[in-house]
Amino acid sequence: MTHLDLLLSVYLDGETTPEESRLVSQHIGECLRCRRRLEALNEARTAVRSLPMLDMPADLVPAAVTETRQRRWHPARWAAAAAAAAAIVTATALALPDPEPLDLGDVTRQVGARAALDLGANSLKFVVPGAER
Amino acid sequence: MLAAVVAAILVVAPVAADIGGYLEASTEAEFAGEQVVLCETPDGSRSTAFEIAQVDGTVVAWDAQSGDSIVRVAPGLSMTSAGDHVEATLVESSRSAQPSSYTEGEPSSTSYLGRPVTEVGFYREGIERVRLTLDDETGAVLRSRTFDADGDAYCDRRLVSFSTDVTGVPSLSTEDDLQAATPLETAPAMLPEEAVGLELMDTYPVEDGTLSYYSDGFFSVGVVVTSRPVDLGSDVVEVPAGRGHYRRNFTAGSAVVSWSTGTDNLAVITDLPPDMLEEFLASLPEPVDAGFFRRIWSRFFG
Repeated sequence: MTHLDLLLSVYLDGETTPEESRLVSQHIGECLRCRRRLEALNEARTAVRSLPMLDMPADLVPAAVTETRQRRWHPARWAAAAAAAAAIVTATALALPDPEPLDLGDVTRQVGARAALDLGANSLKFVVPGAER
Repeated sequence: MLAAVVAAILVVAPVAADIGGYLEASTEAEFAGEQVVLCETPDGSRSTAFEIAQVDGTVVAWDAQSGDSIVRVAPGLSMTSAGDHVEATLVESSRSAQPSSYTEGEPSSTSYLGRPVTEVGFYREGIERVRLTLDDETGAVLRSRTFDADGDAYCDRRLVSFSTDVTGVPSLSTEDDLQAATPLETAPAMLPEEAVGLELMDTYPVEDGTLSYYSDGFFSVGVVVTSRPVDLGSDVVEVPAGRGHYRRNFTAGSAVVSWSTGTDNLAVITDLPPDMLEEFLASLPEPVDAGFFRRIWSRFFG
């Protein structure tokens, strides 16, 4: 059996169509669960309506809005979160191994080899034993 | 008598008439001797001395005192050793730089190390940049001097002893099959095609970057563009430039300058005199010291 949970509240508010009203009437005659739920909803509705009406303080809404904004955009919270994130990133970066430096000995040798293709200047250029880094 | 005069002229006459010709002829010379290199750099004097020999177009240089440091250079090949450890590099190229931007001065006959020699200067844009002292008998370059724009000597490489006896030259070889580095099709876009009269000849791959080779037929520059840091070792001088610093290290015979552009690390290896080096550096992206966040970024992503 399909229960009518949502339609019961609408029925109590008198906002159902005639066809829906007939459906609810027929259903609660057959379904104990929905009949009890309808009764419970009706009691709650009556209880709420019996509460006294109070005037709302004039500054309640602005105060609530201000408090909400302070909670949502408090700079100190953002700064703390950003500092924590930056610290984590920095610590991670520092923990990574240093990139290996370029081997200048290899590069110098390559320049010397290429220069030796140009002309007979071999004995004049980039030929210094013990100078490799 | 006439035959003797003609023979004498043939013996003492220079073997070629321009810098390219002189240098080409010098490759055929076979000799051994002690070479001294003295350079007056912006950061002070740099000097070294070693034994050197040229045999079959291959130059071998070695430290006579320690005996465990040897360099061997042949066209396209460079090898170095330290103790038992040998490193070798082989490169290919279809291009050869010619020193066409130099003009020859008036050759003069004199003597050096007791041998008849020809001394000749070579000029670029009216400034003497190179002076060679060539052995008349063998064609060997006995001495080369390079000059700054104001005429001051930059580097003086000279043999202080000379012999045509090439026995006892140490050998240097490797059992590994060498894979020759071949040029890439393009160079990094930040590099000029020509700077200070030096033409971009080839670009090769290196660790996490490229090596671009410039030459004017005499002076050479290697420009490295890499994501790796460049360690120049000790004796480094920092010079403010652009929005950062150059870090440079002059040694006897060459200079290395490195810097960061903020996104890449560059290094220049060269035998250019300091004024030409300064002009060459001005044609490249200027130094930008990486900020804190850039350094953090680099640690993660290189």
